[in-house]
Amino acid sequence: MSDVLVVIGPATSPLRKADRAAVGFGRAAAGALGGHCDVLLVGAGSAAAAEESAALGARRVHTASGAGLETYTAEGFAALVAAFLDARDYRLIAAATASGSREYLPRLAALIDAPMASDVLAIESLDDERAVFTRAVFVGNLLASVELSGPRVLATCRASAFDTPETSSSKSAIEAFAPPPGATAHDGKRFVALHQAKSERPDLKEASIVVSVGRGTRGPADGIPLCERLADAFGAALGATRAVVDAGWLPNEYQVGQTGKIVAPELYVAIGLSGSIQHIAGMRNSKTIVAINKDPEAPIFEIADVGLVADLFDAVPALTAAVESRRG
Amino acid sequence: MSALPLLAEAVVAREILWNVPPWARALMYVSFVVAAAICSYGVFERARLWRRGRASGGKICPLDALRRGLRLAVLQVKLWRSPSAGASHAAVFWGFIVLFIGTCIVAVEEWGAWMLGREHWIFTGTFYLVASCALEVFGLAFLAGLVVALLRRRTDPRFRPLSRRVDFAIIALFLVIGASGFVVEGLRIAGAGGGPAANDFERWSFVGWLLAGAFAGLGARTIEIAHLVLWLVHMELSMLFVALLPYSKLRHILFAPLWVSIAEPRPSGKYAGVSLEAVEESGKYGVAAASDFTRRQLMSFDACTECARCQSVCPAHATGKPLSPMRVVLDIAAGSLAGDATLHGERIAADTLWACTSCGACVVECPVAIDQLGAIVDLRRHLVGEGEIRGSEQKALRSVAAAGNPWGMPADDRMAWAEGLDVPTLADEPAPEVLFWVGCAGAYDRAGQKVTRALVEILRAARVRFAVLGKKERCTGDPARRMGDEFTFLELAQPNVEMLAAAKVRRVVTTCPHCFNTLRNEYPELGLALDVVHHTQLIDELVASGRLVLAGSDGRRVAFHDPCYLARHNGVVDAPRAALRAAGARIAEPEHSGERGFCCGAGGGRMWMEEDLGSRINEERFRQLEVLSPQAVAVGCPFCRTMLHDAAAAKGSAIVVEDVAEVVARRLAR
Amino acid sequence: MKVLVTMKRTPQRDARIRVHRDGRALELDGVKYDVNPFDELAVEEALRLRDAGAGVDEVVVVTVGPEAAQPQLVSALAMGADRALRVDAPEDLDALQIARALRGVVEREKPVLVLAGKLAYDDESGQVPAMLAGLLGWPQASQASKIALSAGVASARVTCEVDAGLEEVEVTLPAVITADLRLNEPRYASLPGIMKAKKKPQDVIPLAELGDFGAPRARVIRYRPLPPKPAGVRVASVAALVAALSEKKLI
Repeated sequence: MSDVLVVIGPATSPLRKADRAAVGFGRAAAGALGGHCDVLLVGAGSAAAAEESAALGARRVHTASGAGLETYTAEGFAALVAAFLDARDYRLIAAATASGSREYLPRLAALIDAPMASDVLAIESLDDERAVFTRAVFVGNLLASVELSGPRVLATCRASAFDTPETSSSKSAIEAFAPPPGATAHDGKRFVALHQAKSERPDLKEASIVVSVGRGTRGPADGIPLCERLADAFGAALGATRAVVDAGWLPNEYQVGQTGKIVAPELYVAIGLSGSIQHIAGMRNSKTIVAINKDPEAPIFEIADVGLVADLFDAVPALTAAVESRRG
Repeated sequence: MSALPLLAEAVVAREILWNVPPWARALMYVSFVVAAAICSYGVFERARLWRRGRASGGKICPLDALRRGLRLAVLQVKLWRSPSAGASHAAVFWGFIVLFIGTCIVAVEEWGAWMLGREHWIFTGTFYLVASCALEVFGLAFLAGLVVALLRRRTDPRFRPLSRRVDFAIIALFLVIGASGFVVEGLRIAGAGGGPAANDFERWSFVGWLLAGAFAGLGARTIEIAHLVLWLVHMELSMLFVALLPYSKLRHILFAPLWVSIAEPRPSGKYAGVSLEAVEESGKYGVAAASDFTRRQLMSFDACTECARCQSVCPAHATGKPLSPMRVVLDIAAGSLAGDATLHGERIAADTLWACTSCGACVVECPVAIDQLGAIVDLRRHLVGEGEIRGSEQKALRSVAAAGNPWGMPADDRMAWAEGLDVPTLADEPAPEVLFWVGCAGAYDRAGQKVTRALVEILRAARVRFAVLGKKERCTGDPARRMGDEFTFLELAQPNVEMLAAAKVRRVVTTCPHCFNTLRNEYPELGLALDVVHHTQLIDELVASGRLVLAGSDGRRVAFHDPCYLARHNGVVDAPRAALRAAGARIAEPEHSGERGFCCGAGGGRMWMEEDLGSRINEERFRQLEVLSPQAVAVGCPFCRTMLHDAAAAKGSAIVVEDVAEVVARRLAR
Repeated sequence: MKVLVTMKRTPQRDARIRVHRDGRALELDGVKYDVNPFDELAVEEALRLRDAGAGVDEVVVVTVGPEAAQPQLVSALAMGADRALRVDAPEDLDALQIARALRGVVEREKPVLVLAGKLAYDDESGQVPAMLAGLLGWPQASQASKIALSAGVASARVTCEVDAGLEEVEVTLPAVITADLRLNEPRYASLPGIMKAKKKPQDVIPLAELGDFGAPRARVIRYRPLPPKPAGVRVASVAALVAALSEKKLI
């Protein structure tokens, strides 16, 4: 058994960058195993996402939607994948780390009685007998090599650690998967509502530039609008520290950190944030880190590639002007 | 005019209760009984409520009690911290007492005369003249004191807390009693026994005499009616005063002298510990209901004169926090009526208790020796016992218990400040002249480290054989104790006590007044008595003895900010100034300095709490220092340094904030 | 009605964790432990549900681990939990084994709700609660920032912090819910609580009583510290910053 299944759920169109990176992970794993990588799109958006998924170099793309899968639920999605796996042989079942997969992949692992590694950063070794992955522990301060035993293993992969595959000219076959009736029924969970801050800006996990705000910005009436203008000048996503979200200045989906989103954009601009260990865990792998802070001894300067000790209320507007003029 | 001719002309005496018919006299006695009953009931009610408190033992030495009573209740030395208040209160106090004695003399005269069957047995002759004159003088003083009190409330905005309707009502009551007394006297002199013409000696009652002159024109009947009416008013209002006494702030007349005599002074920086066995047995920690206080504490709260001095010196109150020490005391006194109901929540909010910086200004200012800070600490302990401590302060408590310092920094890094300095630990120098207790701030806080290194330079320059504890040093427990966690305090303190005792160290110097206070005042109770000095005291000593020689002169205008834990709690005021002067600084004194300094806002564990309410204490204090236009602000405490530095930064001020040690270290002869 | 809170002991947040010289294990000598901060949120929430008097009357805390984990159970009791259970097991059980052990406990205790922290501070895998829900066939709600039980404790309205924002779901009980940071602020466990905790029931269940567990199928075979990051540069002005960024072709 040397095939890999990459689960994308809920499937979106266009595909999220993280899901494309998961396919990259899947293909790399399949390469190590000498097998094939298949993609399983789950949810109401699977049909729409099939075309794009088919250009990622997988062997086959399966779509699964229908009863019980209209909205994302861990119960429904885990049951669906379990049903899919019922007559199929995969060595590794993978998904991009996301709030959804954090829930349904372990549930699936329990249903199929197989071990799982969370948020892997690299494949250390993968063959028919051993699967060893690298992951971060202790608030991202240590790397651990996790060995999973058994014929079938699962993993969520950190999107920023894997390259998205080049768009392939050959298209994968697309097949619909119809689960047995009742397989995805789940009376126990009912979706009520999703409260989402509407934003024109790119998604935090998708963006190549992130402008992140901390407590030094003093809030939505003070420094945050200045940072928002900078983000717009860059075409960047807006991120925040836990303190900013706790204070209610920005919604939770902006939080970057150990318990928020872990991102690794091309450029991460940290403004008015001191750099707690938990925050750094969420962004330390960004390609270039810029820090603007009044306090020369703020910990963020220890991991910043370029540091500017200045009052953000002067520096940010000046930087915004410079970026705007260069962008034309 | 000599007294003898007077005697020759008329019997120097007066008819007691002239123009007061029997029914009015009966009314007087009945009113008195009723008023006394109401008063007694009120007093016994309060005493009963005190008794619901915890017994706290401790014998009272009668001689000490007498001395304290004399100092605080009779001479009222604390009141004189404000000379005008001291004077006007003394006028009212002594005026009242003398007038009261006057009434007693009249009563004794009346009954004695009745019993002995003769008139004028003591209230006559020279005694009568002297007494009457004295009564006039003190009666005027009484009125004068009241008028001053009234005027200050009308004109000075600082008196707003004392300008409630009830305060004006009480002043008005006394004014009417006092004034009516004089008017009644004037009417009596005008109408009794032939009037002024026949009783020339009455001019010794000079106020009454003058008034009698004004009433001369009135007919006899008018005088008699007016006299009786006013006499009744004067009498009933006086009875009203007696009845109201225990139900108003006037209760301090009885309870304050009682309390101040019993109250044993305790340094404001020394908190009362708890017995873990007692907590285990009772299941109680800290104070939830009024009856959880000790009996003496409950008595003390009833001594409150509602003068609001504590409130006026409270830095939290001054910056808009919901804390008034007086309000806390009065809320407890009111809360004791509610049985075993908890004081927390509606009555005394958690925000009120957490706003306190433990600066002790309230305790030091209180004229009747109430320990407001002790009450706040007892109430805080209950909150902590219930787990009701959250946020950054909970984190600091957990860090101090887990890592031995409130910042949660690794214990291993405790000597990081000493890198490259070759600082001796006790292992290197087992019998040092002095042990340098670095403290958590001195070890981990970047600014604190600068002060630590400065002191090391100074000690070396003075060739003092010193040592540090190194990585074995852990927090003294001060933050835990101030926040109300005695358990964590003991967990930290007891091993320190053992370690220090085993080290056979004789003298300790520290740069942190909080460490200083805890080591000096609170560790002895745990079995360790040490000679502890603050680094400014040591510097002063070294300069005075010639061991430390300083070169050049700082020359700057420097405002010294007294740390509460150094100046107020421990009386160290001169040493830091002497050290600064030795360095050549020119000292500017802010309005609030020394023992009457204004807190930086970090005490009481507040260093680790968010300041969301009101304005910032540190910015207020910085403003007070800024008006002196100093070039620098000198401090003697790592917390004060951080707070004032942050305030300077917030205001964009160029004023440098640094420690005395840093100022002195710059002057070391190299 | 009972709420079961699962708990793990984790090294104290401030502890510096070092890797053993051979790289295979961590230097844990002298390291002090705490209740996993996320599990503390779960304990606090369970206590609030009980204290609100809406049908929950007992809070039971359970951990799967060796005797060294007992003090953390006592901490949870000191916060106010009613009873503590420890499944006596070695420290190296994998997530699925722990989930199976917990299933055994759930079958014995029959709680109406299982609360857990969303992940453990050390391992950060966050798998056990979802695995437990899968084994039990119970619905699950993750990363809760708000939990409201219905009258009659038949269902729970949960606000979950998801990547897209805040998602409100309704789960029928019994269910497994995991706690996220903004769910509440845990109370402090101080002296009187610790004293009362000593008198509360603490039971131990041998692992073997809950089934056959075999060997762990996930284990860490190597630890290494993060590769050091090369030092960055400090610029003195916005202009210099702009120059540095255009050099990297970021502007």
